[in-house]
Amino acid sequence: MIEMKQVQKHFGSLHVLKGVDLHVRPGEVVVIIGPSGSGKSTLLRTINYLEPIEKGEIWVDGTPVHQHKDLRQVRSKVGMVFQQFNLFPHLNALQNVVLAPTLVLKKSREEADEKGRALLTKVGLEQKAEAYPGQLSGGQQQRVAIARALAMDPKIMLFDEATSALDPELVGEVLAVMRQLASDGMTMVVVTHEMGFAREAADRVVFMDEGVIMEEGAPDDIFSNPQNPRTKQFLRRVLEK
Amino acid sequence: MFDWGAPIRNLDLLMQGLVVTLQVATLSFVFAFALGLVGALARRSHFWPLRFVATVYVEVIRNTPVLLQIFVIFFGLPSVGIRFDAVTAGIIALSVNSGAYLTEIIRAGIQSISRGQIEAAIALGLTPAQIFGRVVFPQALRNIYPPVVNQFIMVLLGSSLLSAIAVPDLTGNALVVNSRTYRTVEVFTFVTLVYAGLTLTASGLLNLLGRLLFPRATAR
Repeated sequence: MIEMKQVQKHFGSLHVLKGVDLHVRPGEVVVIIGPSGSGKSTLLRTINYLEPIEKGEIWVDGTPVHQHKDLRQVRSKVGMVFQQFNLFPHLNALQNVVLAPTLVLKKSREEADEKGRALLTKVGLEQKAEAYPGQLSGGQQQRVAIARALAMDPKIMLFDEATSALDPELVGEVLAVMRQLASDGMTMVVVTHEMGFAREAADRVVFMDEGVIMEEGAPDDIFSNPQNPRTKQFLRRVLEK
Repeated sequence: MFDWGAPIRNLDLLMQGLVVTLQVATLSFVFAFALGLVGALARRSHFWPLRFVATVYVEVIRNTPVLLQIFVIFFGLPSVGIRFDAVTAGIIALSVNSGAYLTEIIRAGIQSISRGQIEAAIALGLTPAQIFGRVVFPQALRNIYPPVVNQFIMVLLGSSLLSAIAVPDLTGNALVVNSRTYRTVEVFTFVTLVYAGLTLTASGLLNLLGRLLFPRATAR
């Protein structure tokens, strides 16, 4: 579903991705963990080419993203959820959800509305369809953002630290929606600091540091028996808390 | 000593002027806004000649007197064969002048929209035109609404300068009434109050419209 080969990227003189290979199968949930500045968010953002790359190849559902081909079409099939939610503040929850389906997929208003309300129900916010983002809590905003991405019927969902900007008591409601999605069989790539989520929901955990994948494997192996010393060190630090 | 009947007796002429003032100001503002939108997009263009032209336009207009801009268009352009009647020349001058200020206002509005908003729209697969029209511009307009209203008031008041090229607006007709009656204090005091009433009404109505267009709930 996603095939990345030797992906390289610089920010100025900073070498953020030093040749990353990543393969994601349909229906797989891949969780990327690692210290800040390790390049994990950048890697995620190259999948829908929000971040251009300099070298390497990225294939998404058979389309060569690195050749800038059919980018809009790829993006319409890849849902993305951001740390800062990025809901459109001038539109209410339902309008946020139906905007892209009506503009990009050319769905009728009625069809988009019906699906939009169903998705808001799925994320537990059917009562908030007419509320504006400014009237919602962070957790509610993020759930609307997930519904907005799902409204495009994506084949892949990308989560870029989706719970990092939330108050601790609101993290659970967003993770619950993500767990539900994972068990529905959605192909997901998740960058997160939530080790509990990685352990339970991931099919595969990828540990990144200094722009490379240091280690990857089944969550049980990574968490109980890490091989790479950097992975051991990182996990010791985050799991101590 | 004062004869306040002087402006009242010439009310029909002054009111005709008022109508011209409103027409000229409204038309100029609409054209100025369109110019400002084009100017703002040009100033943000990736194509440097466009950026250059827009920057020159803004700097020339903002660093020269409006009255001279009006004179150039009305008295200067005929010498190269471009001739307008006074009202048309006045509307062009005001549009071009206010358009430069609106270019900067609208540009600031566009810049105020966070990168995250644009990324979210890109990630959903929207086209650049859709991103601008449905995500960036509506939010930008909300942010710049107060200075835009202020710009309309500036055009409304600035239109009085067009009396210098004999446009029969409120000020132009006040000059006529003044030269007929020699009641300078009365006529100009009256006309000043009409302008004040006009701008206060206009800004009141536009602020009301702003509250309808941009409900508090839609704030970031």
